Amino acid sequence: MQAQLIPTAFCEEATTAFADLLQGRAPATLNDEYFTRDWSPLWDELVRDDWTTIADRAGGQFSLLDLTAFAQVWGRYLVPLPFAATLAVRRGRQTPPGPQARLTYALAEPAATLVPHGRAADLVLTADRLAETAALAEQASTDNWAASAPIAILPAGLAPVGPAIAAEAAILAAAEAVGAATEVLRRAVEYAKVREQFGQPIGRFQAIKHRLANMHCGAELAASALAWACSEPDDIPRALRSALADCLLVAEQAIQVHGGIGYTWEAAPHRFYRHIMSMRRIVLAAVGQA
Amino acid sequence: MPAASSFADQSVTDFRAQLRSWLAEVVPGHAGRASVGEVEDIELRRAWENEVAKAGYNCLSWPTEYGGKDLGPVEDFIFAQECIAAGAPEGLGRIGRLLAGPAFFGYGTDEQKARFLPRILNQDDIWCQGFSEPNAGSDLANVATSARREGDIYLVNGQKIWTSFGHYADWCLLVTRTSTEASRHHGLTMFAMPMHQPGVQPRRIRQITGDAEFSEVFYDDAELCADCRIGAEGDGWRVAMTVLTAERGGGFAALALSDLAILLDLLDHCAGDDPAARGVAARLRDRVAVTRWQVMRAIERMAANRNATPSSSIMKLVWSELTQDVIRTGFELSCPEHRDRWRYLELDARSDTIASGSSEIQRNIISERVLGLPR
Repeated sequence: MQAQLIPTAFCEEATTAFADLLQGRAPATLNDEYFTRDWSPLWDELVRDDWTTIADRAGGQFSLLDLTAFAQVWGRYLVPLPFAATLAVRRGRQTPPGPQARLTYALAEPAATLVPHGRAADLVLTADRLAETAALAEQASTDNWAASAPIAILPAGLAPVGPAIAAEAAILAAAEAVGAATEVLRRAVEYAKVREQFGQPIGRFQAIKHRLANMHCGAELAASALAWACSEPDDIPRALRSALADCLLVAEQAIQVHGGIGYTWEAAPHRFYRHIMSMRRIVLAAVGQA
Repeated sequence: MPAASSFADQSVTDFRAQLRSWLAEVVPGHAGRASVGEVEDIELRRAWENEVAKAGYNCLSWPTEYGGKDLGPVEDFIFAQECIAAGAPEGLGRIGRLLAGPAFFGYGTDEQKARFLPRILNQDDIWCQGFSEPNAGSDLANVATSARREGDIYLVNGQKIWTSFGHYADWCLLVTRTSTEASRHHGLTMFAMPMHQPGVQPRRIRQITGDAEFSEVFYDDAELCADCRIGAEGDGWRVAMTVLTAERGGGFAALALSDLAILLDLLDHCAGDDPAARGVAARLRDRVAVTRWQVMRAIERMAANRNATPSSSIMKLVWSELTQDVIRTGFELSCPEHRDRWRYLELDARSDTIASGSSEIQRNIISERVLGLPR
């Protein structure tokens, strides 16, 4: 049996609908308020329209590669909710909890336990069970490097999930990074079309065009690495490292294309850059145990 | 059998299995090209193409009404991949199959289709491509070779360059300028040019490697019958663009990937026990693996007819530059045993990012046609 390389047509339709929903709900400006606002209404809507259960074994209509397509769409919007983590956990459970539960998982780093979106989740999957996250509040510090993906850090204690779930969680986290890279590339392209210097859009200069073409190839290779990871489990660490490296490259170049404004807090590119860096931390911790 | 839309289709598995057993049977009788001279090499390649045609494996992606199998990019890729893996000789028919055929499907008359297509299909005619000129490389619309109408014939004058198979070809798919009045793109016309005549003089070009794989061709009042015109006068640019995408398609990518696999093994050998060198080689191995996935995804997208042109540009850009990276690393590491091989490859690989649309042109295509940046 040959590997699945691109999502099914059915999946592509579904991801388009999913993207339309998020596009309609996410404000256009990625300011500080974007990351601190109450996102519960969106979660409720995801639950109501059955998006949180797409990875459930009972339904069984989407492959892991299909799910990476959803995680990529999700990654474009930088919404600080554990949607991709919820998919990973539900896919790994014979009997997942109710569809409204915000789920996450515990991963081991050499000196700490990581819980992505720990404070925003209801339940955290450990080695042997789904635990309440209430206890996290007292013990945990937070790696808030990306406001879109805060990671609860515990000194030790929670036993990390097993290798099978860690591997799939890593693939979906990497897919989020690919989505973020795709979106920051799109924004760099739009900026290059409207930003004028020397009396013309900078996107007319080949120095900019070719940099953007390289970024497009990078995003394409990163997405291809997801297909590699989904098809050849032994290669997951190599494939995901490769994906994350290409995503970082895209984000770095996006800031370069934006010029000085790209270096400001106010501009959006660093949000994606940070998100990719945080996904990298999660992926490396996950494949370390996969 | 309909064309597969995915490498996972059962029809693909069957196709591959059949192809493999056929190759296992016929290739041994055709091997050994490395040790022979050029004339024998051409005979070997011709004989191989005849074998392919006889077995019905030529022109797989042509419509059935023209004798093809109506298969798609997935099968084309697999055919190239399996032939390489089996050690089959490289044929001589690729320009006829990939460029001339599609030019006739899209723009040829019924008479032309009946006259030319069966001869391409049966490997009776070898074709070459007459697009590039000394002053029309990346800027293809700058073609200056002229075709002047004189009654029932055209007289062709000018020079074409980088012509693979220029010395053996029976026909050339030739882009000419028929009008200097019309704007550059609209003054071009495509022809099927008969190569065996006194007005056509191919001359070999010696490459930086010392080899001579292609030619330049001089046209000096070369004659063409008007019924060899493909499409109307002024349609040349459209015909050229229709057929050029195929050139960057899966066949070359399959060849590049199989070359890369061989180079990676050689690289490991040269890296020996040096941990730094092994680390660099391992990273390149990862790049090659992800490129292989990119190529297969691009082929599937082409098969599903989603984004054919951009996919082929990305694919070509990625494999060509990666090949150069791998070879550069091998050259820098090269152990005494393989020094000459890497030196040769270092020179040879320069053509990868120039031929079939330079990397600069591929980046223009990606940025303008995919990303929509202004010209």
